[in-house]
Amino acid sequence: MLRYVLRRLVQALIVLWGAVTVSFAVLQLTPGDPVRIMLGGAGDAAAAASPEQVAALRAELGLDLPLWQQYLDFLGRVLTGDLGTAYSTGQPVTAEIAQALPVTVELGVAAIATSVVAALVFALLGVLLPGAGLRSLFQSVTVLGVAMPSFWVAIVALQLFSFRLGWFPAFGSDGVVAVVLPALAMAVLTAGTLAQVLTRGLKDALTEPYADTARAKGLSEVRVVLGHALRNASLPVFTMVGMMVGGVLGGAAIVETIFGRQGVGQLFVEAVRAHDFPLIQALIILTGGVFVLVTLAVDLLYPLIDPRVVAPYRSGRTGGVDLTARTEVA
Amino acid sequence: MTALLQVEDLHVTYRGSTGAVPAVRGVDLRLERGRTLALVGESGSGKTSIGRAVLGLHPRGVRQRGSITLDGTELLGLPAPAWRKIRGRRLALIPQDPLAGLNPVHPIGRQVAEVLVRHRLAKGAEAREQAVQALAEAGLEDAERRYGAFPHELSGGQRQRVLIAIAIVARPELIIADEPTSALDVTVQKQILDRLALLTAELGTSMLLITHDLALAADRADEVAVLADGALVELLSGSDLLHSARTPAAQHLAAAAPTLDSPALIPPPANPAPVETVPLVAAHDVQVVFPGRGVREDVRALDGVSLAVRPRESVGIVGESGSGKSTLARVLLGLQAPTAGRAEVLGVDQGRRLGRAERRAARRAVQPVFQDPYSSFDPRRTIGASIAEPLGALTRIGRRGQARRVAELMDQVRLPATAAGRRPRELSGGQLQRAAIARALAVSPQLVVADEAVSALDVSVQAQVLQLLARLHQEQDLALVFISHDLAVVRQVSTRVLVMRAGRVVEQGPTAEVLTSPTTEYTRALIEAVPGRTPTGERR
Repeated sequence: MLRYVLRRLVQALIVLWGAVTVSFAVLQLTPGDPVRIMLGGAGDAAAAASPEQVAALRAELGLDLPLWQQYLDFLGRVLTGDLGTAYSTGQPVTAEIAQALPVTVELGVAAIATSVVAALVFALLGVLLPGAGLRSLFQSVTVLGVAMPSFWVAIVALQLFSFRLGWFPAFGSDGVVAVVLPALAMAVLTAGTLAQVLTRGLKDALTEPYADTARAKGLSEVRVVLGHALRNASLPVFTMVGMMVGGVLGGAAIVETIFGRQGVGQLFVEAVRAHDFPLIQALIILTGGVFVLVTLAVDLLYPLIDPRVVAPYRSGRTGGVDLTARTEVA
Repeated sequence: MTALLQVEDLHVTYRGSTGAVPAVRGVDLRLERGRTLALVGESGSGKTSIGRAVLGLHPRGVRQRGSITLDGTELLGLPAPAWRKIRGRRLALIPQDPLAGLNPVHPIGRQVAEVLVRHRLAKGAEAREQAVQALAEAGLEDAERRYGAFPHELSGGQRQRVLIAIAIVARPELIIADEPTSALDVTVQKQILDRLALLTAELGTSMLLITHDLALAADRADEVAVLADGALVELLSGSDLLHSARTPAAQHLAAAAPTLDSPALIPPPANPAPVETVPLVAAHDVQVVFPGRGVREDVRALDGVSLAVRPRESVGIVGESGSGKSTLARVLLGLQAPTAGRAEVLGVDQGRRLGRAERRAARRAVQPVFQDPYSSFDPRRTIGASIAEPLGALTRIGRRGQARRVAELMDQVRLPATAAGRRPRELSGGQLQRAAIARALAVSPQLVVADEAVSALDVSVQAQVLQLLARLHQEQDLALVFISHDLAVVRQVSTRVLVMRAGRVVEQGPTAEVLTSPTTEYTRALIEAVPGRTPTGERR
């Protein structure tokens, strides 16, 4: 068990280091001189800056040093939590992110909680309802969810619930009410996907011999599903939820832009528009860091759901199923 | 007095894509208290469908007609809540596959105690105590300590004991055992069945034993119902099954079932190849070690095994699972490199770096047939294309020549020519295994290594495949290495046998000699575990 945890921790650190390196490389590979951008974009102001000014700033930023030294400096600064100052606002990058992060976290938590609950409801009804017609209705509804892109749901929801009915605000990130529509827009797609994976898992589990063993014990179908099939069927869903949590930062960009929420997603869009390299770098590291943390959490929680996962690392017994390969995909 | 279980004119019909498929057609059965009734027949004979009908486990789409009464209570059409009071409490199931029959994510003890809790027979510490007791009764050693173990931490035999504990813990009146030991080694099978017989006798439980193994049914059942095509063919006492069946269908089944008394298909060679001929394959003091991961210890699959197979020989390899049989097969086939020792094909050491031509020569000389035909064929390729594949890879035969050769091969293994255009799932297991043999023969090998090649087949299909191998051996001078856990089968097609245990050869010699006068305790135990023989070796 300890070996398992250590291995995962080491892997997480390597991925994180990779994210930092990529964010450093992005700056090197992007066309355009950061110094000129800082001195006022590509326009006349930049041209007006004297060569002395440019050289001074370059020295101040350490851009005149050899590449490897810049890289090591960058690594050092990241390790001490100093991610620099945003060009566009002059604020420390960390402050910018600290301001935007809660808005996105609120949205992400709401969206993922909604999709998990919706997926559970639809998948359970899809296998438990009496009547094959009703069951297949619930199963096919989930396809609709997968077929609707979030920007489309967002626009339709805006039209209906904000402009026509006026139930929810169309813009902004103030209060709980403002999060309803964006969360809905993000949740529809993920709920559909999760429900499909879960339904498939439940149906497979219910044809397994152990489901018959459970039925032969005198358990009702509801108990067979909840007590025996659900936990087995939830393994792939659990992995997917982890990936979705990691993807929230990126996925939020569209929805946050449509609803005018001042979250990380929109910050990312603005940073790219303004060629604000320190901010872009910080956001790449942040996204990578979230992914690493979530994957690590999923990997460490996985054995609690499926005891076979750590089996290959235990001594003695044969017949352990190596499911670690599956989790590593996440 | 009414019988405990009475089945009258039972019909079970599945709804298939092409219309109604009758699985059971008007079967009558009667089982008295404390007795064991065996249902035997090939796959598709309806025996499992009857078992599921008695347990009410058929899904909603399956039509059932007739009558099934348990102690006078009609079970067919019983509403779900009433069923829940009967299943697990009065009727219990021991399922076929111990590996899949337990929920992998729950500790085994809880899965046993669940029956008690659900039927409000006990809860908490008391349920735990009774579950531990049931596990101990089922023969699981160290039941108290293993209560919290997960299924994957137990062996197949131990898992089957857990399933037996689940079945007996609520003291049911009737146990339906559906192929309870077909996934286990003969020695483990014997232990489990002995234990089950002891328990049912002690507790006065009746048993409906569903099996494809006639010898096993003959040994273990008071009465045997022989089924074919969903109908009852003959009802006879267990002791009469193998030798006194009256109907042709039952006689046919009994004749196909190999026992240690049935005649060998391949007679001992009249003029064996002289020892100085170059062996087709040879293993010299081969060791195979699979390195352990993490804290797990290394697994020594083969520990100093030597074997030489000469032209026109037929060698059997027997042993329990885990004894190294399959690893040895993989070494002979060149699919597994020895960790130490030497493996030779046609006198060429396979350990060193081989040229393309040498590698091809080795591949052409030795071809495999594996256990599960469904997973050894590419599901998207036609049978004809699969049989032709080795021709394309190892020979220069053109497209037209390949088609001719495929037709010739299919004729040899008695497959209809139309099968060439079909996909694996459109063929039965027996047909597919014959196609696998055709594929192995495509490049005219001198040796075929068959690893449990008939274990997944019904007895009559198994008999056909064995006859095919025997015919090929005799007509085409094909040498065979035949690996099986079933001594009765090995005896039929092998003139020389190796007995393996824990990666070593513990005994070897002419088959008849080894089986009649074994020199090791292990071989003796293997022979005694084979069903269809009495401990004294006399016919029943």
